[in-house]
Amino acid sequence: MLNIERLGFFAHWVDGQRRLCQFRAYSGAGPLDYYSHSLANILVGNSLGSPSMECFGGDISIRFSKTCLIAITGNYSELYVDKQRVEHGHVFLLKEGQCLSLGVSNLYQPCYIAFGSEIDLPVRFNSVEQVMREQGHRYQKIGAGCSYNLGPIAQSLSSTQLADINNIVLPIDYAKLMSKVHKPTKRLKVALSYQAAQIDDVQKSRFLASVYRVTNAIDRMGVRLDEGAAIKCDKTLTSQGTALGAVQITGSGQPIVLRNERQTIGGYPIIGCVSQTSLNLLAYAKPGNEVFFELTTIEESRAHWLCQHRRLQTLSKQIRKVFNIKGEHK
Amino acid sequence: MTTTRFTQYNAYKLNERVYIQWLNERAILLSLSDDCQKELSKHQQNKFVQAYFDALMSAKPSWLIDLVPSYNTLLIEFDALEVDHYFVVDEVRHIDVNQADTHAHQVVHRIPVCFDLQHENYPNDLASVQQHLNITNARFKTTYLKSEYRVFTVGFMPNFAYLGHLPTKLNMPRLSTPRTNVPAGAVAIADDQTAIYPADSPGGWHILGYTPINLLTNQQYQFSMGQSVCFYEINAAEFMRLKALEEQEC
Repeated sequence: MLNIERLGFFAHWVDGQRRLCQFRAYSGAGPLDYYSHSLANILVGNSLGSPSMECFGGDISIRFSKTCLIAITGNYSELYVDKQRVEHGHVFLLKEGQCLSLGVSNLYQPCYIAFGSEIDLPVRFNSVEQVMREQGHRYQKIGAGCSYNLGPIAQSLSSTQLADINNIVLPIDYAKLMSKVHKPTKRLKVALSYQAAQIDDVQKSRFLASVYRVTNAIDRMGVRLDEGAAIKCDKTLTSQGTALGAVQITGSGQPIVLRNERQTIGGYPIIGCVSQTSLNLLAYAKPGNEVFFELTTIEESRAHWLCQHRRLQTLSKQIRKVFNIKGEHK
Repeated sequence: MTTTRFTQYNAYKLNERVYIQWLNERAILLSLSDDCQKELSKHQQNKFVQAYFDALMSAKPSWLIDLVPSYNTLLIEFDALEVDHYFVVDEVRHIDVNQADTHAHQVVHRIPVCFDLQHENYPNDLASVQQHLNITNARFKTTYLKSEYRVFTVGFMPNFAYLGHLPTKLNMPRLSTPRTNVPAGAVAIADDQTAIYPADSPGGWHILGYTPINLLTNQQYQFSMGQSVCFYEINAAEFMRLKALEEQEC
């Protein structure tokens, strides 16, 4: 069993696996930083679509009633096992009865905890994810006192094998991503699409030249920005489907970057979409941060994203060798 | 692939009626051309989009992650590790909309609505709507209840169906100041549409009455594009009886 003793500000299960639900106005959901979520799963020998716990803010304390391999990625500060401080690493073997404690310093910046064991969770739309605003009173919150059944440990590791995993060099781009997490200015790559052609070139230039500020209105639905150039789009729209990362121009002319729990359709014009790799960085935005947009193409965004995925696959192969697991996973 | 790039970013003309726009690494938007929108009524445009939606839902290819149909567009989200947008555009190009079977969606939901609940928990704008439209209570109800409304799309929140179109004489602009809370079950109108709020939420539509059906949990009333909805009137006693039944079954 996995027993939650303390769980900070907010935590929930993510797996990025929701399918065929948006036409019924259920959001696509998924982790804010897909890369860190994927990496945590790879580090414990899971497939990318396995659940991890996305945690925001505060102190987290989890006790294990059976041995379990865990990996932690994203933004966290101190880490303790049974009140003994451990050096920052990523993969740990928690033995029966041990307690993992970590601090997540900021309630806007997530960390991801993956478990090297099957976890018994209800599934809907092919996914374990729940979205609070969709469920109302039926939402099953994770919090202190919750317990989850763990399957048999998927991978049994010696300390040598554990050291091998922790010593495998993480992808360079992950180190780069984490180094940018705390920088107050974030550069987001955006590809023009949707109604960009109806926005004149002067306004597009102003949009790309502006430095916007992240407001307090930031959550898993979107990141609202202000203090930059107000964009005007005269095109009247009927509602259209909203893609992940869409930069919607609100009535005030200030942009909002739509995230994983966005509404599925919207009637405001959209100037383009932030690339997936930039969305992983945006996951760590907090109020007061500055954001500016840099133009890219969708082909380039796709190429970067596929490269990143290829690096994850390479890492996965190395780790699965340590685990002695055969076969590819996506 | 016969495609013509034209004045939208990353957009390709698929045929005389449809163009496709690549939105990000894993989503494309199918839209109707300006000429097509002028030629077809809103109902026809929606049926046209529904044909593509139905074809993809029927085939459920392994690369399909999700679909978001709207009034006259269809967002297609695909697995970018399996296929690219060229592949998806080619698949969409081969869909024969004339063969599409829309009969599966000819479901008509009959929704009971009570116009007469007198309680502060059930705010109601019916009187002010009738005054604005200069229409009697009886005439309003007859006109509203005799129509069968099409589900154009489901959005805003789960099972919130945008239903249209209202008879012209019942069209109302949205509230200038939206309510901070519209109770679940509210049957409302705005512009040329009507809708039912499945859950409590802020809202700018005019409330006409309430349905006792719990649209979040009652599986018999899950709306989908292309279905139809008609309303019938019930009194307050019947509303309370049906609501109690719904709550038991929850």
